[in-house]
Amino acid sequence: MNIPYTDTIFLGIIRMLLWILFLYVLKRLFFKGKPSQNQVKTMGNLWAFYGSIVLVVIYLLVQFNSYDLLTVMALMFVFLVMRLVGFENLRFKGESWVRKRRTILLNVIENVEDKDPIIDVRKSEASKRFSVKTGFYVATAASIVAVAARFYLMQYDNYQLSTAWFQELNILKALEDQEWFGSNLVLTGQYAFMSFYGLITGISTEMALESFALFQVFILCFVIFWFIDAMTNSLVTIPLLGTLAFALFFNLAPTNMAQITHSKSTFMAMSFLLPAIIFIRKPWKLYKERPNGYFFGMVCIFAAIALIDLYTLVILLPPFFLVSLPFTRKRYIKYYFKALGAYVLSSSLVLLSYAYSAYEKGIDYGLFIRSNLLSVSASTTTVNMALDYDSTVFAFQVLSLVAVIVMFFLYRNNSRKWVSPMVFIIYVNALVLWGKTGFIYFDNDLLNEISPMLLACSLSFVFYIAYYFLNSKVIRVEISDAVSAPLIFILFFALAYFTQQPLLQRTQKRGTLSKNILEAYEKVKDNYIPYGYAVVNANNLIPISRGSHHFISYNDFVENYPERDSVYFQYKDDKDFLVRNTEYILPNSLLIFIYENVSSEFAAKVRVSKETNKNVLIEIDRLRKKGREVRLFYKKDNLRVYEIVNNPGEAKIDELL
Amino acid sequence: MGRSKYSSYIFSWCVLLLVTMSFSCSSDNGQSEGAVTKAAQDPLVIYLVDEQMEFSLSYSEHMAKVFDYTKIPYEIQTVQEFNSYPYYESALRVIYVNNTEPLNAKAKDALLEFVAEGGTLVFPSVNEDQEAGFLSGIKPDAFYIYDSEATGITFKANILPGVKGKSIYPLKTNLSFKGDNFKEDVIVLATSTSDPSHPVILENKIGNGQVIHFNTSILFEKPDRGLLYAAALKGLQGVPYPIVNASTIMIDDFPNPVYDVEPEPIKSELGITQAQYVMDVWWPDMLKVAEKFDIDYSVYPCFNYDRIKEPPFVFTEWDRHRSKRAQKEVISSNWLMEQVLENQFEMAFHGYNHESLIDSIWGGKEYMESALIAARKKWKVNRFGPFPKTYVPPSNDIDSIGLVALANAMPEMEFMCSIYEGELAEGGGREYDVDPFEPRLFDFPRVSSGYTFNDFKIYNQESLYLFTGIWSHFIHPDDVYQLPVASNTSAGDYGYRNAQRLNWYKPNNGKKGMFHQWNDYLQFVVETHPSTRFLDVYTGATITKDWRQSDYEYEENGSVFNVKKSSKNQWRHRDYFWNMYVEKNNETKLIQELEMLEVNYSRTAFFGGFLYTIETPNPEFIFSKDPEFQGGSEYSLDEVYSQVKKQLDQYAIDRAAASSGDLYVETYEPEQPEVVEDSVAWLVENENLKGATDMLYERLDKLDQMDTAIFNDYTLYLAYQERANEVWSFFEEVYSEKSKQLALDYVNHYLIEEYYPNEELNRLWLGRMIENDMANTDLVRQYISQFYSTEYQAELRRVIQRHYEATGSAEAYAMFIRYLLDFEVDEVTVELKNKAPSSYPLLYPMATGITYAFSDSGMIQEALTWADYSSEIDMKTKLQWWVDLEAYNKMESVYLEYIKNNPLDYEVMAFVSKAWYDIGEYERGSLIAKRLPEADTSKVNFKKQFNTDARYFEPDVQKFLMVKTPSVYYPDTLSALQKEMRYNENNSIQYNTDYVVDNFKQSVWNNSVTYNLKTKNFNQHSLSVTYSDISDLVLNNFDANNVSHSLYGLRYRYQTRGNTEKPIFYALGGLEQDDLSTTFFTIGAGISKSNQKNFKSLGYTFSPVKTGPAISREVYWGELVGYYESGYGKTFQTSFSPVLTHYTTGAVEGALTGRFFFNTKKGTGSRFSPYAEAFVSGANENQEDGNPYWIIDSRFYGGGGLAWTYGQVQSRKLYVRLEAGAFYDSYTDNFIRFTGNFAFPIKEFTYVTGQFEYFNQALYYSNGFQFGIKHFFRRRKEYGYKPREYEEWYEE
Repeated sequence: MNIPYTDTIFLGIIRMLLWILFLYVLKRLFFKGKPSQNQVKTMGNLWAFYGSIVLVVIYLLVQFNSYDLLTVMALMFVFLVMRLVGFENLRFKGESWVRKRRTILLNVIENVEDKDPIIDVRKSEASKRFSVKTGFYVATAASIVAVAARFYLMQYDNYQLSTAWFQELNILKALEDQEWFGSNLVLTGQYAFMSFYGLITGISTEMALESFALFQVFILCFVIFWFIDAMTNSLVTIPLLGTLAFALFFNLAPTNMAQITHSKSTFMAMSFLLPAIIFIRKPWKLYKERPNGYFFGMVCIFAAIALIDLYTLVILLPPFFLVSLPFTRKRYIKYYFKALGAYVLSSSLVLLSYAYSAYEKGIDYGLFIRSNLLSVSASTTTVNMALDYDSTVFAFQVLSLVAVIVMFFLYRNNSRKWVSPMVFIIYVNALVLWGKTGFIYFDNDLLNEISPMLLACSLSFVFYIAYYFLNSKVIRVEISDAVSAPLIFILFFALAYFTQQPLLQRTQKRGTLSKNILEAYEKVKDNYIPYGYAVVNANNLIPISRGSHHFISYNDFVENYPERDSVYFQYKDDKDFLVRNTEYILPNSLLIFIYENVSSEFAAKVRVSKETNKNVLIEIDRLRKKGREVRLFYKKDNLRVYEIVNNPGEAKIDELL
Repeated sequence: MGRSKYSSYIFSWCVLLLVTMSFSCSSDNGQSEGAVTKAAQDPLVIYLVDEQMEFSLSYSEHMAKVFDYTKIPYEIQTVQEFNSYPYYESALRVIYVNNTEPLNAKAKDALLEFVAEGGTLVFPSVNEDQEAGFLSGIKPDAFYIYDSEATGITFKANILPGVKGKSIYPLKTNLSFKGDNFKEDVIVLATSTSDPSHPVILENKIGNGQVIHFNTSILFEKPDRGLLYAAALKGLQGVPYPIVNASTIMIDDFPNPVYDVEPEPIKSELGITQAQYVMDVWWPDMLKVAEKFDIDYSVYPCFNYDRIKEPPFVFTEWDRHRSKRAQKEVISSNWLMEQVLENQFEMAFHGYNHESLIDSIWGGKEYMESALIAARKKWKVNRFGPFPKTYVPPSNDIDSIGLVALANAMPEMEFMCSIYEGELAEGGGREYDVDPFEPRLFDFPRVSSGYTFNDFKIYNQESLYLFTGIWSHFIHPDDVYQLPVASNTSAGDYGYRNAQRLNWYKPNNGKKGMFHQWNDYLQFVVETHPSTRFLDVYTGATITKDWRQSDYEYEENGSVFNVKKSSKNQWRHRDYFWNMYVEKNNETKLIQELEMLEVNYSRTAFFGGFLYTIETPNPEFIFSKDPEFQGGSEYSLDEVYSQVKKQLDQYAIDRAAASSGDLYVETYEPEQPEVVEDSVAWLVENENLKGATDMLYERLDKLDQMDTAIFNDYTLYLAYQERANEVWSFFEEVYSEKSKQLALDYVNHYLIEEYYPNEELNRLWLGRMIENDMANTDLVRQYISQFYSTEYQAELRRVIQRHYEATGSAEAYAMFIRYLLDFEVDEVTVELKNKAPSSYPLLYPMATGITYAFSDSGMIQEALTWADYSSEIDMKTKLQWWVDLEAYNKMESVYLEYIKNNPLDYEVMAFVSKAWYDIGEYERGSLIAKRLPEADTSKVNFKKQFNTDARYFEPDVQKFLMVKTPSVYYPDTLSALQKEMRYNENNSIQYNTDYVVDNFKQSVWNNSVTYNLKTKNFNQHSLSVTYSDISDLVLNNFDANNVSHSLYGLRYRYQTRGNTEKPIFYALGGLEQDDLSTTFFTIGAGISKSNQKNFKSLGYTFSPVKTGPAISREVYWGELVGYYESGYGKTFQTSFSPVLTHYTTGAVEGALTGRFFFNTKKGTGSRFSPYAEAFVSGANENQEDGNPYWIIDSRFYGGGGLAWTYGQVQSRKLYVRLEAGAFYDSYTDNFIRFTGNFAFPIKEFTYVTGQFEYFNQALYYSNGFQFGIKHFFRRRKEYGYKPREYEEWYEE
């Protein structure tokens, strides 16, 4: 398989997971409560709550030009502490604070003294030493499967170094420069996560961009699993079906097959929308005992959505509120209105802050809103679909209708069990119908983008009815999860493999060159001191250099560099001259990218004319003849990177050490 | 929906449908009508096509298209057609022919006459026919020498507006007759460019007309259509034709991304970047030009120049360049878009990027559509106005896949503007027509481009403009940058757009800057065509589309033509333009006419006269009567023609003298006839009669034809010798050795005076005569009259048949049929099968015979057909035949017609009545029988049978007959039927009560009063008022729910009609309310079917469980009951009943009961039946305390007993059944059970029913009884029945 840099691409994800583990340990250490009965739910909650808070924090920090890793971490720490103390105890009461501190210390000491396991998994009986629930294992496994499938498809993907890739790299770099939305008017929420992910895991921005989609899918799968779990109360079987349907089937809904590994704002927003739906339907899932906490949590989630994706905020959410209202039980109507209030509050806050920024920068606010409601760059095609688009929609609508009718009858007897899945199915159909009205700000491509998730969830609810009916009315089949989960995995693998042969066995793979370029850059950045060197490359690769090193274009290198070179070496020891004429100072090392016989697909991405290439090679040769040290720094397939060493031992980190 | 509302609803739909249909029809008419009218009009122009000649075929097609545009009636004729019919209608003005060689002399004469009388003959390529030299204007003594050197065409006159002095095709060789071949007086309109003495287009005046000769072999193609058409216009003086008059300037690739680069030549000239040039120089200049010439531009934005062909389709390039405008930073491309919108130019569409929509480039249409959809979104996001309606394909290339993608993704798109020339498959080669590949788009191709003009560009543009009035032109903002340098690859397949290295303003190499040249270009156009309108493409193309979809009528009016639109399509822009050619000398008259019409007009020099462009307010151009347009000739046309003819003769003489040729004369001499002599008289004179007859015989023998004189002498002299009969040997000799005809001639001649000596000879010769002349009816008649007997049957048949075959006459056929009837009657049917009698009136006298011939051979249909022509066949026979054919309808109509006139023919009536009755049409049968006298035996018999059968008729039939023909019923039959109907069809009321008590002291008492309403179709609606009293249980533990309840309710039940073959279906629903105001519902449905062998039913009921606690807890149960029974009334009777019960608490129970009876006696009397019974059940719950209901997880019991039965179920008479049995039971060890039910009438229509059940059992029992009473109401209304269409027919 022709997939490069498996190590670096997973590095971020693995580090991220380690972080989560660390946080979990921390939580268990300080919050010694009842161990969680449903770890999927716990993790989901953690994501929805802390994820949204992180995003809001980053947004605020960027506004104050103080976004960096340390600040975020510090703030998160403060937040953790506050939670520990309790928000309601924020007013400082010496006594209670002392008491609290004492309790914590006592707890920690107690835990350590008792040799009580810090993590709850070891707390149960010996026979169940690892009390991690099957659900958690299965959810993780399903998410890993989803990541693996996309990782495999990377060899066919053309996202790397595409125009969109550079555009997004620019956004990331701008974010690092404390700019939330630049002149491109793009909502930056997703990129804030991406940047944070890069910072917290210590991988380069390019690699974060490259691997974030995989991480995104991981989170999303987990959230889907949790979502179905929460909506159906089925712990393993049904959530697994839904998650695997999303993880493995690319032929259910229209997609953009060429860019499956391109991260998507809609996906990111979805990872908050689904929890929001759970919390609106089942408020007790979010801090049942603290109604104020509920409101605050919802504000954060909706604010995160508003920061990530206007489409989700403005187009996807309101229908859910509408559909949900008639089905909300009297007892929880209070929470419904709290959620609605939170929605109104956070959207107005975020939109107002955008309006302010737009006003500041002299940007047309209407244009900003429109360009984020409609995504010009999102496009989906139907070639990948197993059924044609209209039949799929029709089949889905019929299935939904049947399901809703059946649920309605079931609902009469057991409203709590059925009303939420029913609301969700009605909601998805409402979206489909809205999409058909031709409302000009309804972007069908965006709906298509998220439809794999909506379909996977809805279908699993439909399946749930059948399953429920079979199990409660016809015959009670007790299959242990240990048997059913592997069976479902095998079944889905087989089905996915045999129904998607053309997808898996495409002859036309993407060239590896763009991957090699990234690898070379990664290697360069790992080895050299920032701004201690310059890279000579095609003009459209400038964004990679931004914030990291100097860039010299090929033309510049051929036309102006020889002069700089001769002047510099002539006056190399004359510091005064160089100080007066800084334009002649050469970087310690020069890294020149040379491409040979590139494919036309690649030529469209990185434009280097043959003539330029030839001239550059001639120039390198001339420099070599002039006595400059020329080393081959990197070579793979069609790419070679030469290093011209101007000041030996001053550019490379290891040499310096 | 009420009935009236419903009908008004239907009515409005019908109206809508009609309107829609009429609209769609009318628009269809608009499309198709034209083709018809055009063909119906006499052509003004004819092209004589030589199918062997490539030029001719290609030119005629091009001209067909031109005349399709101009709407002038045009026709293509082949040379062969013209040769065979060299005539033309008077309306004809112009004839095109490439080569006159294949024309015959007559055709050539016709051409000469045509020209002499004022027609215009066009040779569109060099006419090599040396015999046509006179027409071509070639000297008589010319040697027809060719020139293979002269190249190019330089116009000496404005053959097209504005082309005088311009040259085209400088490299193409004319390869045609040298200049000195032509007479001095021909008018030279164009010469070769390389050799000005070599004429290329000439005009030769002959008589009143002219010949226009294209003395060139250059193959004219699509761009030259106008040049070829111009020649025709010369002959079409005074013929207006509709044009579009639209000049459109399209700016391709604008707005587009701009760049901060400084390419030449602007870098040197102005020292600014490309972005500055476009925004600050070029665009303001374009606005100035627009102002000066009143131009509405159409701009074609293209968003990207990157080669993205896969999603995501981003707009990085578009959004990249920013500049300061009015102190604000703006995205430059967006600013340009705003400029366009501000100036109200048309915002059209060039593409997401500059990649042509071609399958091989994009690899399918999916991504093409995605890219276009992305562009649409950008359009919405940035508010670029309404979606574009016209489209220019990048590089002018688009294939069929791309067109489909375009129409799919941009449904508002109406017009596709690629190019006029080029390859069809690649997007070019378009006409102003519906696109050949994508009917959703209409093509509006472009004919020219660039800021500068040259001779060919003008020629090309004028060529199209002449017959369409369309100039579609495109420019780019970056044309100036496209210098002819190797690194510039943007030109693609096209030429460099700034090949002359022009600057924008400053002159370079003595050439004006591009901007000034552009001004000059437009100035030239406006001066050449003062009426020019510069419209945006959408407007121009809309007018063009309307124009193309319109048809026009040309009507001769003196020497001019009135033209008006004949199709009904409405134009969206209501100003109409026309072109018309006029000679200089007629101009004043035209102007007078135009002034009178009060219309706007302008003119341009054209072909020695003027081309007028006229604007009219309506789509018609009507001259006043007799405008006397043409100067006319001093001489009559005949005189002119004869003069021309003289000239031609002189020309021929001159040419003959020059070539000195001879004529070949053929001579012919006729043959001389021979003469014969005679000498017989001498022998007669000397009484040697034998010698005379011998001599005469010899003479006759020599002769090959009849000589009556000799023959008369011969017979006379034979008679004298009493050897008269010897003449027959002579006949025989002649007949067998010489000539049959001659012999027969002799015989006929002989028979004028004489007669056959015997029958033998008579038959022989008559036969021979007939043989010789089969068509002679007299002979055949003669033969028949003499030999019509079986003796001569074979011969007779041959004669008659062959006579018929020879003449085919009706008379002969009648003879033949007569013969067949008399001699071979079996053949009659074969012969007359499938023959309609109406065609053979001569056979009518034989109709009876024929009819019987058919009926005897079983061909009833034919017999009946012929029977109509015979008066000898009685009605009953005919009706019997119809019955045999099972054509009862026909029988009926024949009968009804007959009985009207013969109302007392009881025999026929009885027959038909019986016939109907026998096939189950009891109503018809009875209706007829009713009219028979009571004493008639047939009526007595009918009633006997009828009253036996009547109780088995369908109820509807019974009722019909009760109303219509009560007299055929016996009174007791009638009352029995009425009683039965009361049971089955009348409404009833019933009361039921049941009481059940069990060992938990739980009792349930149910009461209901039900009214059953029968519908017209005997389906039953039952509405019940119910009351139930449910007690609490005796329980060991306290349960708050264990209280008693009273339930009041309503119940509705619907059941389909019984007593049919169809299964009975029922559904029920009910609502009950208890004393605590809790509402309960009951629903249920079921189906049952019975036939002679078995009875099956399946029903489901969902209802509250009727126990005290269950009602309190609102527990429901559903019960699915199946029942199967076979052998009812037989010795062995079995039944099975599976029951599936579920409770809303989650309990489910299944049970199966099987019973087997041995019926000792059959019938309705008292009888005993021992039986065996087994029951098994299983459930998922066990509630032996009966709270909230009683259920146990498994149970089996089995045993047997004896049943006693009296009467029959549902017999309306006493019915009783009692059963007693003892069983082994897995739950209670054993038990004894008594059950029973009964039904009996207490009055004639009032029944009592009852049922009881008693168990002796330790653990659980439920004993109970049920009692009901039911009364059927009397009938108040008359019996209704389905109306029969025939019920009136059989009344008086």
